[in-house]
Amino acid sequence: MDAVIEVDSLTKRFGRTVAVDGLSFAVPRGSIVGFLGPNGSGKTTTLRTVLGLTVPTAGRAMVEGRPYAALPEPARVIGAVLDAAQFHPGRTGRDHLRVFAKAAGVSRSRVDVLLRLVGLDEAAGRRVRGYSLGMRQRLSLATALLGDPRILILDEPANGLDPQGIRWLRDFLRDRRDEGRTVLVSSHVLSEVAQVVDEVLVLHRGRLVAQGRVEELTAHPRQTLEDVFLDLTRETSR
Amino acid sequence: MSRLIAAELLKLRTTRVVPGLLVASVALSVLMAALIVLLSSTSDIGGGTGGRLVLSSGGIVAGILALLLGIVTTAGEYRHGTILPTLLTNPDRLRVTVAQIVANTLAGAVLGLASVVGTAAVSFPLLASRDVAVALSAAQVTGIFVGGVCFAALSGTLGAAFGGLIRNQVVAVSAALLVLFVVEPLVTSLVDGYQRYSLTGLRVAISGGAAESAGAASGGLPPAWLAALLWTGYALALAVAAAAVGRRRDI
Repeated sequence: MDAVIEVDSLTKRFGRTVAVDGLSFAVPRGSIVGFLGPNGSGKTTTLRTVLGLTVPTAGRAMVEGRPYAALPEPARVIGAVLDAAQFHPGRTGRDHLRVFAKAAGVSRSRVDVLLRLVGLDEAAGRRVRGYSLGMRQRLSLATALLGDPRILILDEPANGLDPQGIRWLRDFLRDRRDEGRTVLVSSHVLSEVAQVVDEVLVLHRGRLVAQGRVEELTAHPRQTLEDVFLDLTRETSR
Repeated sequence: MSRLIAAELLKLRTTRVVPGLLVASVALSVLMAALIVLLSSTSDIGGGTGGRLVLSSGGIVAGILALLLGIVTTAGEYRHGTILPTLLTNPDRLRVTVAQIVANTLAGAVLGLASVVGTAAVSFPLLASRDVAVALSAAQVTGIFVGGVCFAALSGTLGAAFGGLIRNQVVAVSAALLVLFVVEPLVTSLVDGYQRYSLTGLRVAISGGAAESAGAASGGLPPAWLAALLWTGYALALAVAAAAVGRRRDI
């Protein structure tokens, strides 16, 4: 398998709390992989570790064979939408993108292209404090796409999006995959994930409890991804 | 590195914080200089000490505001979460810290320049209107103005390093104000010669102020170049601490 993200025996402890416990998995190139798990299962911690924002207690996370910090032009390799605030409220949407375009060495024209792509071109001159949650989510996505990266990591990307926005996001992710790019998407909206992902990784209490293609995991007639997810996380809770 | 610094400068230019502090710095500098000239006796402001007090007000005000600017912008990265896209774009935390410090140093210099110009533009006509000739040579006046700009720039350096170390805006601003306005005056009154090393003493020395402004005239102040060197050393020590701690911190 040509893996673009490899996590190997990753452990992260916060004091006495074990957030991620010896986790290993690989994300194949050109696929959409769902990263699923209940709240507190270690999804966000794992994604942040892959992105070099969290320092692992043990193990390692690699992107295209290197730690994130060793990527020469990270914005062109990987883009990320994290489930956290990342805007100065007093800066306009366009200026926010201009700042990070400059930092990434991306042309200013790319900013306008992305503002149109995510449907924020008309609101681009407004300060972010006046944006709705959905608009902030779109701005996060535009920021992640500045370097036209080969890999996308999305942590709860559907948060705040209206039904049209969710449909748009789903189509956008499929287009990315069809271009041979890779998406690792964390979500708790299983029905949404099931419609778009090729395979899933299921986490519970910091450990990987299942990995495989959706059709393999839901082999039983009338069994949905939600059923599988609830079974897996219920069993390991006992 | 240059594009990282350019991005940090763009961050500063695209919120209202810098323009607001620039206006505040010039206004406060002008107000302070005008009040000193208008409310002091001509004998007080005619001497070298009085002249230094008037002409250094721009640099000192700009320096304090540049210190706050540095703290607010670097600690604000953590408050608003902009540190996330910053580090995703440039994961080398040391380079990010250096770029933030350079950008805030330049912003401090701009604050200092505007405030010094404003102070000069108001002070000389007001002094002339009261028939007061400043008992300072042209070189001394130039030294005060250049020192004022340098002090504001170095304050931006120190503020950015401190904000990057503490990361919490409220705690960092409160700590800085507590040190400058409570701890240092107290220690200066208790320890002979402390003003030669205190931030207040170095501030006065760099910006060409009168030694009395540092709280204790006895023992004097270091020369401006040495004070600038010491101040830079303090800022570098904080920056190294911020970078060292930041390398192992979870964001």
